[in-house]
Amino acid sequence: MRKEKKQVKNSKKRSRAGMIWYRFRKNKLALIGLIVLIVMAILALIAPLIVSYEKATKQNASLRMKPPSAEHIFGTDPYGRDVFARIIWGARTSLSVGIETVFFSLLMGGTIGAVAGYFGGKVDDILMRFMDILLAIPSLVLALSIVAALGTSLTNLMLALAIARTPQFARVVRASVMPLRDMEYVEAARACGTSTARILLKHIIPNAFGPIVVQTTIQIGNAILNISSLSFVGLGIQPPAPEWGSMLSDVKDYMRQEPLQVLAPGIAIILTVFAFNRIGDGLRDALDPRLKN
Amino acid sequence: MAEEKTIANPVLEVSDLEVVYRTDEETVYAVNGLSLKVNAGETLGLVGETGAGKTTLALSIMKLLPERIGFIEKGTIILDGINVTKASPEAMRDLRGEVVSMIFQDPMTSLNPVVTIGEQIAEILELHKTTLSKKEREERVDRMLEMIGISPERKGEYPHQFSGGMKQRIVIAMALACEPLLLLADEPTTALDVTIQAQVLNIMNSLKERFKTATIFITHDLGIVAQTCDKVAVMYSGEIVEYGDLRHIFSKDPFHHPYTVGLFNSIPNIKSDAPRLSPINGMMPDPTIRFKGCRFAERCAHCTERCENEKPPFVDRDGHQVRCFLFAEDGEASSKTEVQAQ
Amino acid sequence: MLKYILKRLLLLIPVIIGISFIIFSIMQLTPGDPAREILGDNAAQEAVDALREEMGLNDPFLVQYGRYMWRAARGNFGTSYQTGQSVMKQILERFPTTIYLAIGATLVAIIIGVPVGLISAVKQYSLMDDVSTIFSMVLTAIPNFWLGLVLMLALSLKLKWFPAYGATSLKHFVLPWITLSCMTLAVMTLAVLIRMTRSSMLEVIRQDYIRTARAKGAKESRIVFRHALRNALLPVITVIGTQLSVQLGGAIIVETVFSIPGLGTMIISGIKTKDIPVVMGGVMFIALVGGLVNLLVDILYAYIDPRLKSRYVGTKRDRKRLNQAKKEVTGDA
Repeated sequence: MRKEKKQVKNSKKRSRAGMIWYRFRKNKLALIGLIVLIVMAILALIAPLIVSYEKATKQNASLRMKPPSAEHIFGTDPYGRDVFARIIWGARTSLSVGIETVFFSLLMGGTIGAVAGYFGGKVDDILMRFMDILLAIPSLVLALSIVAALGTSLTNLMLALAIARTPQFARVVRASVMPLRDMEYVEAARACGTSTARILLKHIIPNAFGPIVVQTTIQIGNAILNISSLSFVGLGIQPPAPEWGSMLSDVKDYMRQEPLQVLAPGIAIILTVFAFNRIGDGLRDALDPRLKN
Repeated sequence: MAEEKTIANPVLEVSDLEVVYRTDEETVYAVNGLSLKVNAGETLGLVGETGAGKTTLALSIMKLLPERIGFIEKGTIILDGINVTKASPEAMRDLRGEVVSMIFQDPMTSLNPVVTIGEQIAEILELHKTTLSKKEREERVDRMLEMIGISPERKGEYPHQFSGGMKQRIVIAMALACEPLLLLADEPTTALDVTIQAQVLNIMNSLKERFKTATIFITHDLGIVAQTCDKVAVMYSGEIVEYGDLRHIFSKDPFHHPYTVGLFNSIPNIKSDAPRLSPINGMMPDPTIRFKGCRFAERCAHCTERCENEKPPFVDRDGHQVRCFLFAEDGEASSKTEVQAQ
Repeated sequence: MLKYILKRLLLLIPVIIGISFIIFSIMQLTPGDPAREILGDNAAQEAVDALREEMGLNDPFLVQYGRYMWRAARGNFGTSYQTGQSVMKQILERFPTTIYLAIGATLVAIIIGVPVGLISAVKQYSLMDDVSTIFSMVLTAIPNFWLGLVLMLALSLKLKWFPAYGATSLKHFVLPWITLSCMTLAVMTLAVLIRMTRSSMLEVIRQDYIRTARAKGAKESRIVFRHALRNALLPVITVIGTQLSVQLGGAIIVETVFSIPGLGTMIISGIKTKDIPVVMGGVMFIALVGGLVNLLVDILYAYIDPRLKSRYVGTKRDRKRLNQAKKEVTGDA
């Protein structure tokens, strides 16, 4: 008995959250990703304090394609708008649309996955078959057709992107729910007459937390990529709202004159997506070290 | 087995071996100052519960510890006159398969699923018996297959086309194809059905007798030990706690390590009228902690102050060694009550 | 084997029906009247109504869908609202360009990605491994349209190696131009293949049979090429299959960047002009080809993996023996 106590003290036990943070911190790239994201998020939040929205959106013929200067540190675009301002405000657009989109698909996909996984059998078959079919359509093509049908508005864009990545969430949630369904503590809750919705929300979903968080993080990066792609082909965020993809489409024909204008939005996209991907990977390794290779 | 043959030259001599597994989060002390000798043609049973370091010992001898995690910290392993701990990777490759072979626990996963079994047996000959022509090699593969009771016709088939017992026989054929001096069999029958177990054991025994191969038989099944081994070493938490001839270990004599006693008490005995099995209380000590004293102290009914602070020496009686203060001549513990016989 | 292929083809049918149904339903949501779209704003209402009736637009949804599928099954995807041309003809004209692009990109990704992933796994924790890992991480974050622009900027505009736009310029320009667009499109697949090959190889290297091979005294190179590679490539092949259909989607964007007259640009302009039959046809075609490609990959897979091969391709004798073995096993139990 005496010995056992000593052992507990000796093996450096940390709280679960502490352990996750400890492992996450050891992943240098994930840490860099987190820092990049925090910086991005702060810039996006305080955008109005840095530069006015007007500077990012108001066209000015006399300021077309100006090279970088003290006043316009990244120069101006073909419509005379400040590129730096558009980058900062673009971060606001990309982050908010990306995050909202993914939470929406998490809600839809999560519900579908949880129901399919929990009930199994026919319900599972039908729902997942439907998800497989959605998955068989390349997500960009699916999003494109939805935007095409509904028209190019911000809500439609978000809806389209959310639907396009619903199957991924359905799969992840279903995979986490299935093995939990028959766990004894769930059986016990059921035996006590707890309602199904309550069992799912209180007992099952929290235990599927890890994979869901990881998937969410990575999908946000993915959604930001898709938003910029759609905006680039003119079917995403509509001008004059600042968005990185549409910025690239604006300068496409002028890039010989101002290469910086091509580089800046691209690097902004890469940094953001990279940050989300790294955080996602870091979380996965930290939450479940067995998966690490 | 021929007694005269086993007296002299040791095939394997392990002395004061320490092996650790080191990860970012912790260090596991898997083998702690272990010494061991296996003579030519002799079969040594290595018994102990899961986590005692039996497999680690075998992997150390093969020098196949998991890269970047497993390290030999101290000690030497002399295999057929060569110091394995200092040997170059090339020298080790020559030893593996030719001088020492290993059979792993799970036959389901130890064969390559996309290579035919004939090719897998031939490969070891190709690697070590380079003087053989292709035809001779094939003939030898056929012979090996016959010996393990599988029709040579089937050598073009893939592992998934065989049953578990057959797969393990194939693995045995592979391991013994070069007639090595030493065979390390790591629980070769644990993953098999009881009926298949006997079959595989028989084949293994007959082959190793035929090739005069010394064997370390790792198992936790004392019944198998009784059937196959000449010598027995009882391992506990990375150390050998008792070593001796088969008859020593199985004797009713009270001269035994308390752990061995516990081990025997936890197997069912149809003749015994004890109403219950008596398992050993507690669990194996945390392998991330180094101990000053006896590693079994915590679970031992005869534990004294001294056991906790001092490493007990081996007490040798007629080649039968027990690592416990109970029997040490100077020991205060020796005055205590005798260990109950099993 | 034939049975297997047929079975897989049959399984493809519900997927195609599902996809077409989803896409068809989405397209039905499009605001506006196609008949009005075709005839223009100045046409008389009677003419529009007549056309609606003629096009069957007044029929119930399912009837319209059924009719569409019935025609599509016979290769008729309808006619474009804009040009009045057969959609199938447009698709067949543009499809080769897109498929070349996708195949080219996939080849580029395989040729670079598999060896890099392999070396990365074999030399785990080396500098090479770190570099290739970070390389593939960055690649996944790069939007391919941006890469296209940058490549164009660097190679065509600054270095003047290639012409920047259009596939129809002089013949000797077409090849380098294709290289450019392939490289652009290859990026995401490249990243996936590096990661996949690496992790699959690492997984295989951990397997018991690799340890067995080591225990036999095999050299590291032999272990990699003879024992690990084939096993490691099995999952990679599946990924290549799914990536090819992802490529078809990605081509939409890349074609826009380089103004390539492929299926992608056709779909985008169809969307912008609300030319529903064109969009429908294009998307359906891409989905169908994607399904077929995956089928092909699975068949290839069955040939490479002996465990599947003996199930589907084995000779009669093999099958007989297999059945016998099965009986033995069940008899034992």
